[in-house]
Amino acid sequence: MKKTFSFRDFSTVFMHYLKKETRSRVYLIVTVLLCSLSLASCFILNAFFGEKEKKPLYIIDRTALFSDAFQNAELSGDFFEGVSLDFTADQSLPDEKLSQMVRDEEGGPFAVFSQEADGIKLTIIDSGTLSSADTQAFLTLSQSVYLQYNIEAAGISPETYQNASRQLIFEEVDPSQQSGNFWTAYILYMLMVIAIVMYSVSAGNEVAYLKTNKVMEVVTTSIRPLPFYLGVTLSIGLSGLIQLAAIVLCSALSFRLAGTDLSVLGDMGITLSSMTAGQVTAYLLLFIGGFLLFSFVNTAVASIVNRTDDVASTLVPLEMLAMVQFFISLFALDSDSFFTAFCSFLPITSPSVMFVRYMMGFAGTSQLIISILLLYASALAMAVIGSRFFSRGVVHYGTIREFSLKGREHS
Amino acid sequence: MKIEIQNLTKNYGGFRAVDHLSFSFRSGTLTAIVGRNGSGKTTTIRSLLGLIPMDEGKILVNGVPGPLNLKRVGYLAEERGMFPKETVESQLIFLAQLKGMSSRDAARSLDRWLERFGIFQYKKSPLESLSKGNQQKIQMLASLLHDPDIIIFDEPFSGLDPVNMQLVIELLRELCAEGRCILVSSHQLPLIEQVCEDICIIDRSRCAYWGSLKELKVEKGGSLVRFTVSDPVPAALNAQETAPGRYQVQLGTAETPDFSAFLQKLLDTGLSPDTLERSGKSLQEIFLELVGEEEAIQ
Repeated sequence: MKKTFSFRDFSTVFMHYLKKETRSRVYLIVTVLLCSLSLASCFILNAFFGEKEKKPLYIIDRTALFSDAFQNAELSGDFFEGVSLDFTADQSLPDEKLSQMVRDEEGGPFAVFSQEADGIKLTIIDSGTLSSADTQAFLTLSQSVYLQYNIEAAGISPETYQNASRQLIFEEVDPSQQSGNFWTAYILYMLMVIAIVMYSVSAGNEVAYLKTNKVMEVVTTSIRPLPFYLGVTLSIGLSGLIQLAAIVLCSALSFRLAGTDLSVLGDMGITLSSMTAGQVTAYLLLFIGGFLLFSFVNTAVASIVNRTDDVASTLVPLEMLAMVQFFISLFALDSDSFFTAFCSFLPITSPSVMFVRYMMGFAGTSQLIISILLLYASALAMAVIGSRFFSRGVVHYGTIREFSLKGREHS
Repeated sequence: MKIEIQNLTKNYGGFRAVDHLSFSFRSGTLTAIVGRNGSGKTTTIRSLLGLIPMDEGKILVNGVPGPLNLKRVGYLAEERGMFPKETVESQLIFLAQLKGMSSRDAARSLDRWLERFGIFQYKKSPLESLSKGNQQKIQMLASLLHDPDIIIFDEPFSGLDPVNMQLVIELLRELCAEGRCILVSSHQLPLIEQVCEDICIIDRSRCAYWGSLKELKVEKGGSLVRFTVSDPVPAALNAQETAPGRYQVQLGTAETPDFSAFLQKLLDTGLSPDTLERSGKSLQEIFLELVGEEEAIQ
């Protein structure tokens, strides 16, 4: 018992708590629920972003100018959101009849091109089925065809017109910012903060449970505090990672099974596959370091809690502290500043803030390494301090205010 | 094996919880540590186990200074605590593993002890589903499962019914006969009197007596004659009304040098005793006298 750390004791505690945690009813229910939700997520995405059946927009061309041009135009599949052009409608139907059909929901919507005295008129007969985006897109397309016709009628060659109407090519470039990573960084850091808060509080709750059940005195007369403390914290962390991995696997499986088009995520800027090995490693190291730090803080504080009533009031402020990094990371996504740079080295905020700065190109590898080293050094220091709290807290059954590391505990 | 505590002193801020306390306990002898609430018993045990640091003093194991090997200690804490949601089997095997046992040996030992305590049927039950008395047994079992050499029980009789108290008394005798080194802390002096050979009486953080219980009773117990009557007793006898219409008279050895003569004298008074007993003072009476003396000194 002279040794501070026994690996055998640690592994006994670690395995017991890992089994206990992963076999607990709450854990299984939550995992199954989250896995089911992730399995369902692909169908939800498909429903929102998948290919939808497009309604026809019937073209009535009384000018004979547009139908051919439309049919010859190579329009991409997503040129219109919810309609496709249809040329099969009876061209001789009068406007009144077309309106009647739309009113009675027998047909439509219709796009009617007609010759007026001062030019060609486009009339859309619709009762709200066309989206404004599709109306605008159709108008733009028609304008373009009409412009082409007018240019040719005026004897100007299309090339001449194209050369004369050339516009500036505009692009805004910020070499320090990898704006393509915005959504990836956003999603991943959010996941990191939520997981850190959730699982570190679980570790704190477990120690509070041990304390309020007064079982710690029995346990710490069997093994040293440090292996027990580390065993509980790390097993709960690993059970959390197992839960996350199960959810991610279910998501991946469901995307594959349902054949969801992931390019939708790419269009939104979420490009997980484009993350470099460095970024993935940074994410994992910062995530694990953050979890360890907050778990050690939570378990240390929870070990001096005596009554179940005090658990929430003690752990909630720590959750708030862990959530601070969420808001600072939001600033870090937008721009770099002295404040966000400082917070990316401060261990209580560095996990997500440094990750965001690194993803957005605001921080280099050297800054990342320093931040990770500081984070792990703090976690290690907190583990030692926490185990001291833990061993002192074992026989402390007074109020938190009465607690002292010098051993002025209740007799 | 012999465990000695020498000059143990523990302060909590300005309050001295234990003041230069010395005593020992050894294999094959059941030793008790008794005292009033807050006298320092639990602090002494926690210091002995290294749960709280001592301010002064030392522990000797077989004459060698050093801490106890906690893996060989079976400790029943005053603050009872287990895992209420876990099954009896799961938590007891875990606690035995923490003491260095393999899971297979722990499982074998668990079956034996559950049978011994008559609660084998609760092996797979969550602890919280058991009665309070059976939960107490499980707690005690947790301290014995790993076959410890040193057994420290803090208030082992607390919360037990008379049948289970008797079970614990028999268990303590059995463990003592097996050569274990046992220290028991308790307020239940009549029970302590039944099982212990050595005793350490702590009063207000200090040792009021340490030594053989038998010698203590010889030294402080004297010889008494007690009788109870239902009729009023002459005032000179200093009778105490123990129940409505029931009086107890207690006479020390000095007043009764000859028991036969005393009996004759009693019959001559015309009193008809309901009960008559010749004995020494009980541990409880000696304890109260000792603690009272200490209180008077202070």
